[in-house]
Amino acid sequence: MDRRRAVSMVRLAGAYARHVATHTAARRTSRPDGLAEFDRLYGRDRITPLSPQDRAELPSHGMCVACGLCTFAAGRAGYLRADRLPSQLTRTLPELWTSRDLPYDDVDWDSGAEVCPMGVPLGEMRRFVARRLEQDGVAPPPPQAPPAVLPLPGPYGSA
Amino acid sequence: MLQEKGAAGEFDVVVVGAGITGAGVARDAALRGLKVCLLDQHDLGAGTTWGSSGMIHGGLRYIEYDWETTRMSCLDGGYIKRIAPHLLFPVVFLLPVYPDDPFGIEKKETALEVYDRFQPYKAGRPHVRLTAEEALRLEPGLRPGLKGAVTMDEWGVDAARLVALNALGARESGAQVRTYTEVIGVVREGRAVRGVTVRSRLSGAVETIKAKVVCNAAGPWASQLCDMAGARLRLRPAKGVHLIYDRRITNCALGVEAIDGRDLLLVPHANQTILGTTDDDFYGDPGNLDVTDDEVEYILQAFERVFPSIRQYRIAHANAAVRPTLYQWRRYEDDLSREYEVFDHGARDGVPGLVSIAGGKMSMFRKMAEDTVDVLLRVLGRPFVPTSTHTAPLPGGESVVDVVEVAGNFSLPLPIAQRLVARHGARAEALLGDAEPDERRAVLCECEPVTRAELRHVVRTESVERLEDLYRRVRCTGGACLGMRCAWPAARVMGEEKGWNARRVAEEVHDFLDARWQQRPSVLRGATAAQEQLYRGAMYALGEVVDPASAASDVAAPAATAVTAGD
Repeated sequence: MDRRRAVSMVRLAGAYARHVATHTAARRTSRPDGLAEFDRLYGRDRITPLSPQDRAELPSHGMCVACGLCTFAAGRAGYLRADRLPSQLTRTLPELWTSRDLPYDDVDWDSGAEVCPMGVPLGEMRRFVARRLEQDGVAPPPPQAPPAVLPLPGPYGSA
Repeated sequence: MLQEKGAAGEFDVVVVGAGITGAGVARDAALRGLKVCLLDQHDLGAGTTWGSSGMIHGGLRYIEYDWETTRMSCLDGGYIKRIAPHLLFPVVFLLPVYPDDPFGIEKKETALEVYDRFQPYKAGRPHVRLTAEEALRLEPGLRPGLKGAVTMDEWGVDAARLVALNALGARESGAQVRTYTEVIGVVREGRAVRGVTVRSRLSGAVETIKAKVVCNAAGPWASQLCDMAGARLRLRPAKGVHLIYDRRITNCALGVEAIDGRDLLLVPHANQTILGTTDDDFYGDPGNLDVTDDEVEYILQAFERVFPSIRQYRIAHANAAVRPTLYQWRRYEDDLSREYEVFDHGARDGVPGLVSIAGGKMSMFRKMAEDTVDVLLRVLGRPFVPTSTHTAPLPGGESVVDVVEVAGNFSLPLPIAQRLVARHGARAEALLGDAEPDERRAVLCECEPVTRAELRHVVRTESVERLEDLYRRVRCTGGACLGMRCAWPAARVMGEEKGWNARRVAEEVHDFLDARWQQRPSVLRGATAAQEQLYRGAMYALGEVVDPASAASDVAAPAATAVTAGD
């Protein structure tokens, strides 16, 4: 073991001792709400909990192979075409807010789902979107503050 | 255009290899006043960078080895966030702890408490400890039975776009950038290297490019270039495989342990999910990689243990790349250092005029480039000029842009504006302002979405030579259709821009779809495989993808069609 690693291990051992001494004692009296803290840190990025229902439905959302058949059956409303729901709009929950102004009720999702060869449940997906927009909100995430400019580091050590 | 072909005279530096390392070196060198030419045998970022996990991380694993390395990795992550704020996005890791975990939750939390000290350098946030119930409420797909979990965050990045922006930044500082340009020889004066002989992979033309120094940033091909020059560089190349899903399948990244104890990651990466990676010694051609069924199974098996429903999700494709790891004997692949080293072959092998950079990882690219250019300045006998790559913004990183405002100013649907700003940052509005009004909303790639205006812009300005390059620039062909719907109209736009005839357009589409298909057999399963074969067959039958042999060579390609948003 080289010297740097030895030093790191000693420092980690010290950190571990402090961790056990402070946290184990503190947790006997009170336990912070981890999910509330998680939401405080990442809620603005739309990185939020999934419900068991969301989790059960998600695999079928990804079965779309973008054949476009559903659009013939379901019709479209402006930018909102049936096939864009699985192939574009629901690919990422943190960006789902961008679909907030689309006229979801003007598309016949169930008819689209009936002709889908892969069994993508478009009606269910539309309800999924409504549920998630209600949970996560429709405002755009605020921009991340960049870190301050700090001095240039020297050469890296071994990694 | 990135290329400024025909520029006369000798360069100070020819950088061979336009991955993230080479592109970073080219930009740094150009910013410090050197006359630079950047070359790659393929597209920008098409080699090792293309197979990366797309993370700018602060080096949590180095806590065990050297805290100073973690501190400096975090500092560098902060610089990259500052110079390209539009390109980086948060990736939040959920690290579940099960009873058989070799470390246990207290030790894991201790490591993250230490890491919290360095997170502010990169605008990261502190860790959170979750109970088992809280972890399952956050991610109900986890296997029950866990003892708890901890969370932490890193930055995700579109790796190929990061390369393109570095190359574009280099070019804006005066560098030449040439893709599909293969080095076939080295120009010598005695033992000294004074340039390279190259052949265009597009036209077949051969030419000599003279330079005072050749910087070898060729990644897994670096040893071959050294061989040509009579120098020696020994690597221990390692193959890594990732599985790619066309959407996020979780909101949080997951860290799991593979059957051999290696750590694997599931990363929700913008609008995709990346699983990986394998890490195996590799002795073949880095340009000809297959993904085997065994490699796919190795990855899926590891995640199934923690995320049991993983096999229910449709894998879009897999990719493989080779890491140019520094040579070490008597170590398992996963224990190999990710350290990098700059080699001055004049001092080392008696071959002046050749400098190599090898090892390292994407998170360190800016620092690797800085150290390499420091050596180049010394070899060139130039006075030292400090780097500015930690403060000079990459193209598009000049300011933070309000997506809603961009959408309003150009009457764009928000989904189009969001992805445009994510790729082009502060330059999105200029791109839209230069475009024909009807092309701003004309969607060519449905899944991403990519408009005709954006496609024209990158073809004109970002060194796009082949259809496949569009995936690396703007993710066109990267969604659920895997190119079956958008490859053809995208090739037509390229044809319009480049003056291709119908035969050339057909060849591009044909080559692209064949290559894409060959990457997929190991990940196609069940009904999805049958459906996609049927779809592919139907597309051929309908003439959407014509056989290039039947396409007339003297007929101009038909105009591209696109659906206009709101039509």
